[in-house]
Amino acid sequence: MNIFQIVGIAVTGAVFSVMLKGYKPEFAIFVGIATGMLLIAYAVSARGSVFDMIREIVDMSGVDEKYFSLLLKIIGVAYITEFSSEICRDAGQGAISAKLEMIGKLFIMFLSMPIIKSFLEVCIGAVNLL
Amino acid sequence: MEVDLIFRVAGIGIIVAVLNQLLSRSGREEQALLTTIAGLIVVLVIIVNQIGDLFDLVKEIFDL
Repeated sequence: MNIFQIVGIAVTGAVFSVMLKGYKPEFAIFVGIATGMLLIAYAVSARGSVFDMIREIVDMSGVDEKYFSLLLKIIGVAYITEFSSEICRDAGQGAISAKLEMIGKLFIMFLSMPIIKSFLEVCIGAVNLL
Repeated sequence: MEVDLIFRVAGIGIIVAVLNQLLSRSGREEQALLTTIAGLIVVLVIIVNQIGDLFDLVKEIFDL
């Protein structure tokens, strides 16, 4: 799918959503969700090949594999959280989307905690050497 | 996960809107409400299935 198809999908979805908002706001939200889902699905599937190439580069550079896979996990969590919080904001529920984003940040913090710990251990080790 | 997902959901929305207007104009408010609820359920089922596929796709690519 090239960029024009993507733009076409997005614009048709927006037009349908606005059209339905006058009569049935619930269905306008559903059309918004469907369009958002299609775009995210395309973005995620197109991104897969990029990540494989990055993975090869990471292997060549000798950096530990688990850092890159953790980075991938964090990106995935960020994708999903942003997708669903925007849907809630689109439906007019600002409070719910703010809570969702906060939980997403907490989850990413939770995921990256071991890395932070190992980094601090390295620093402490370095400081003790002095 | 194709483009016709949007058209399907929008089509159901339009049909339900028209039926609702039709029924409420002819004095049957209850049927109009039931039609709206039925339309909502149908679209919800479609959307939830598609969201499940999307989350599986994300899980598989980001190996969450």
